[in-house]
Amino acid sequence: MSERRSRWAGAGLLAPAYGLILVLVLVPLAALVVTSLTPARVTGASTLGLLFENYLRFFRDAPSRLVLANSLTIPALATLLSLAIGWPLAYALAKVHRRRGNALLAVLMAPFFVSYLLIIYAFQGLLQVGGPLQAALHALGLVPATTSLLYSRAAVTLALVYEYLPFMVLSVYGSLERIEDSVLEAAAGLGAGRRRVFAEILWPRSVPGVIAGCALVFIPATGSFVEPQILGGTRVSMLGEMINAQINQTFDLTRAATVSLTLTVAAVLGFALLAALALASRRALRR
Amino acid sequence: MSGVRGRTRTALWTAFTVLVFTAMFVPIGYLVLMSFNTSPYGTLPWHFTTQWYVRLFHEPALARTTLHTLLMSAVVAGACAVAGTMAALGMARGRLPRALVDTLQAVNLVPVTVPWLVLGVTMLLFLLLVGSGRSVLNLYLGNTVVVLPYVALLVSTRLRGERFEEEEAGAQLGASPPRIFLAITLPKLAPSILAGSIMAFMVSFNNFLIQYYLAPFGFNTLPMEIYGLVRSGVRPDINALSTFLVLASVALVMTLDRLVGIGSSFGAGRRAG
Repeated sequence: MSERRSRWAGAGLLAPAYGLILVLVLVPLAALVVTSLTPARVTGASTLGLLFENYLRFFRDAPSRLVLANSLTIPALATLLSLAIGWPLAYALAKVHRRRGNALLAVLMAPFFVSYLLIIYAFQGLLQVGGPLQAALHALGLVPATTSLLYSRAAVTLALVYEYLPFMVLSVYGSLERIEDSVLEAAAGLGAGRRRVFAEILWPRSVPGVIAGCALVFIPATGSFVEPQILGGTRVSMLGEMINAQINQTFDLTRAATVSLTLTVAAVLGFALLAALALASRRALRR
Repeated sequence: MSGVRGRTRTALWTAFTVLVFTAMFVPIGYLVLMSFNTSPYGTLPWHFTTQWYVRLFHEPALARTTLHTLLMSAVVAGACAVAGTMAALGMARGRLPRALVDTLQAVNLVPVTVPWLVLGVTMLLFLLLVGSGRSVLNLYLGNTVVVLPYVALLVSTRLRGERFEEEEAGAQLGASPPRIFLAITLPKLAPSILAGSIMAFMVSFNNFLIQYYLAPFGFNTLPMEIYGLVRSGVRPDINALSTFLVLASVALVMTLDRLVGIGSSFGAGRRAG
């Protein structure tokens, strides 16, 4: 095959996938940026007359800022919880129960393949007054009989952990499974304690998996809208609900574009922070 | 390793694993349990009934919606398998400049780093702008573009571990490129293409956030139907439906694991040495 011909063939092979990404993701994202920079449709309301007027308006509104904060802190907490549960679980599957590791991983994926709407629906039932979880906590004397566990940050966070934990386990498992046993045995043979093996081998080598896991949990979770709507009620709001209302109820497409881009940038920045923390922890532990 | 302490440690890890797995299945177990309960409100006490299953079978709309969604997911999975494999091959074998390949790989990650909600909204706003809006075609295309990057990534990962020798030998012996592809390359890639298609199928079957914004009015997918039911109040036939979904998912995941091994198909490489 001549160099030139194979280059053309390569381009042809890339065309369908990248054509689709270009037309349905890149160009629409560019259009979204332009929409968010055009003045709001209410004529005469352009009091600021600036390019970033829509963004300024968003950030000047205290309730909007609060909802933005929720959209970052709730997914961040859910990410940290799924790391706290998912890392040890991935370790158990990759290093302790390795013969059954892959099969157990498959079982863990099953609830993720069931519609997440059903998981949300299940939590609505479990946490309601008279639901099994609420009844159990009442029996233990932890909550009054008439107090619902719904409509709280905890309820939203819990559902997010359930939905995304398998992603975290899968990513961390991938990086832990790759650590050769000979390395761990050599470390133990040379007298390294378990804490040192964790700090100098297990954690540092799992950091890429941890970062990938954070991306797979945190970024989609920031865009939740059914969870806060059903389990958070009017008390806990996230940006997803705001965007959805602007699309489906008020038809304010300019604001929807502004809030969508704010959410995307915030999600990427939040993820970058989580990734930086993971990298810093590796250095701090090694010392 | 010291025997007794080692064994205690293993037992503790087993206990932890069992605990997490049990907790993971509480919501699903609850739905299945409540699908056999007389009370329609998902509360205790529990009295056995199969009436919700009877009701489920008398709901033709739900069956039609399920079929629609299955058909859509199958088409999307097929499209992703073809376009994703083509893209992965083009990237690995196209002899494109290094910088271009890096850029293309970064572009492939864009749909992954934008929350699905924002992708759905962005596509809808753009389609409204160009005068197209919600339609069945756009629903199919939108679902495809969201999962395509994952399929391309899976196949690319597999290709990176492969050598070209057999293909080159085939070419030197005079085999045509299509024949080389069918006889050598495709069988090698088959497990990851299959894993990618099954994943694409399941993700688009469940991708409420994309479906919700691109489906034309009056065309409901199963997740949209469930969303409507959940919002409208208590509907225990959803519990009965979820029992079937759980069984189908477990069967699919088991098949996927039997065929390729979930761990290895999602990028967890073979242990070296």
